[in-house]
Amino acid sequence: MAGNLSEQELMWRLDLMAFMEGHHPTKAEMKAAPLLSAWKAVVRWRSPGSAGFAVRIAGFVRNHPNFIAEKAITTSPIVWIDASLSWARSERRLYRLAAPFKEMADEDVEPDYGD
Amino acid sequence: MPTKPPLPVRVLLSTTFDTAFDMLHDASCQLACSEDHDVRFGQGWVQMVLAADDDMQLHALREYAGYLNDHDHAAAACAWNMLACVPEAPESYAVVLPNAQAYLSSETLDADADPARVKCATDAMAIWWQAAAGQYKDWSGTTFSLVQDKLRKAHSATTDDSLWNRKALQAKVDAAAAPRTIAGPSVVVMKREPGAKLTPDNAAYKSLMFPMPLVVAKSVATVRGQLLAEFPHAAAAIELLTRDLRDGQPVRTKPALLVGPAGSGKSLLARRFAEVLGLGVYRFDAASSADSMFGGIARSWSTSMPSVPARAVLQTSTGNPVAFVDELDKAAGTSNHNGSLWNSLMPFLERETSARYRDPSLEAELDLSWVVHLATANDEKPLPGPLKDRYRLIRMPAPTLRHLPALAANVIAAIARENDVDVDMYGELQDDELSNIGKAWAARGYSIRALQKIVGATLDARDASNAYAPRH
Repeated sequence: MAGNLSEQELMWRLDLMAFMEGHHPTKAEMKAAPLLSAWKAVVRWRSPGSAGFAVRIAGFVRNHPNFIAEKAITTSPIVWIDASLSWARSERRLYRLAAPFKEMADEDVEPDYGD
Repeated sequence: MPTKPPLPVRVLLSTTFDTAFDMLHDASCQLACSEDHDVRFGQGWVQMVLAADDDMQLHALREYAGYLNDHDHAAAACAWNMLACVPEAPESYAVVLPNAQAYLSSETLDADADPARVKCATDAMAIWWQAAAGQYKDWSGTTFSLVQDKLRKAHSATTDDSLWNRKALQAKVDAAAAPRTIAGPSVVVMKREPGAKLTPDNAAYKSLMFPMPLVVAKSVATVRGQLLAEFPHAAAAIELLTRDLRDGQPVRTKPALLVGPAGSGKSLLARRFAEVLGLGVYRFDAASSADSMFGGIARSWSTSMPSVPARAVLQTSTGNPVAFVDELDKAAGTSNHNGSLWNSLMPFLERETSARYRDPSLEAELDLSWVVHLATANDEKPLPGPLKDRYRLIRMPAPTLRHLPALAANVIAAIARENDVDVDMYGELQDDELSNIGKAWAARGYSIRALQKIVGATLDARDASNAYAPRH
């Protein structure tokens, strides 16, 4: 079974073993990681028709290797989220987490006076 | 040495929020953290959390998780975050379940892990994911009660399946891993005395020197409702039996003597009372037990044995188990025999004397004042006055035909559990079946035991006619 492991899967599994032991990503890894803001973790079927669930994070990403400008994305399945919600590891890469998306309560909405 | 599953897996195996909370707090207190740990998250914090409203409680649980995460205790942090998940708010799960799943998956791959335990945890995890996907938004309880409910349904009310294994496993897991600090009410049963030594046979009783948890009555109304559904003919008896219980307080009641005709369900009621409250039971058969065994046998005898209440405490690992004496009035020979059982019972039935009972076998002073004493008798007349005075006398009436439909339904549910099938399989009893059962029951003096036999025979007869009907 180990022979069939893709490099990508091997990498996240190794990371996961370290995270489960209480290790955190290094400063260099954090610095290189894209930043997600106004994010929200969502639970979806892992893939259409599959039996299992997966958590993905939807949000606005900066510093992502694939996108130049800030872009709204949904990540690949998340394998670990830091308990203090400051970073997360998807199957593909590490993300830093900024403030999560906050649903505004009615009283928070300022009336727009048009100026 | 059994392997200790990681804390998130132990949360998955927990049957209630409270057991998970206690287990987790005990385990977390053992972890190396900063010096202010006990100040910030010690017993004071526990009291605060248990008294807090929902939002405050979730906030406190997540705060502790964050603190543990800062000290690199990722498993404990994940486990506390799991406690802060509620089915009513599905989004609370999303940031927690990836990590929980990671611990479960690693346990699945662990060759040393108990496969039955892994299976239980995996079944539970599936429910946690469904809750995360918002499938149980209208469930107002905790994830733990949700999991219990769903798994109970999945296993169609079997007595001997996963649910009970889970309970046994939970006990095993906790016994293997739990240190002896207890959140919640507890009692130290055996005082440490300088110079006192236990014999090798009694070595297990050493654990009585540590705090024993006291079982707390969660909701007295629920307990009463449950018992009333099962014993519709005994409303007054149930009221008396549960009179001393208070919501959220450890169970402690005046000794109770259930008196009623044979077959009225006295012993069953006593057992169900204990089960519904979650108390352990130690049964002592007055009719077939020798001499003064109840009070313990002194060390100078070859068969030295601690008293029944002490054995009950040890066996159940709780400070307030039920010490149940069946057929207290039954003579097993000479009146001297009963005299000595009755005499040895006396000191346990008064709070002052039971709080400082000197056990002849352990040779130590025990606090057994929390033990719940229940007894049954067909007739209270032979009992000596002083003994009767120490019990709350509860009359157990015989059921009447009026209670037949409800009682018969209970019997069928019990038969379904025994045969490992869904209760719907038997359907409702038809009117003609009920009237036949009623006649047979009346002829046998309205005893619960007789009703069990009659209903069983009725169902068997149905099976037989169904089996033969299609044949030509």
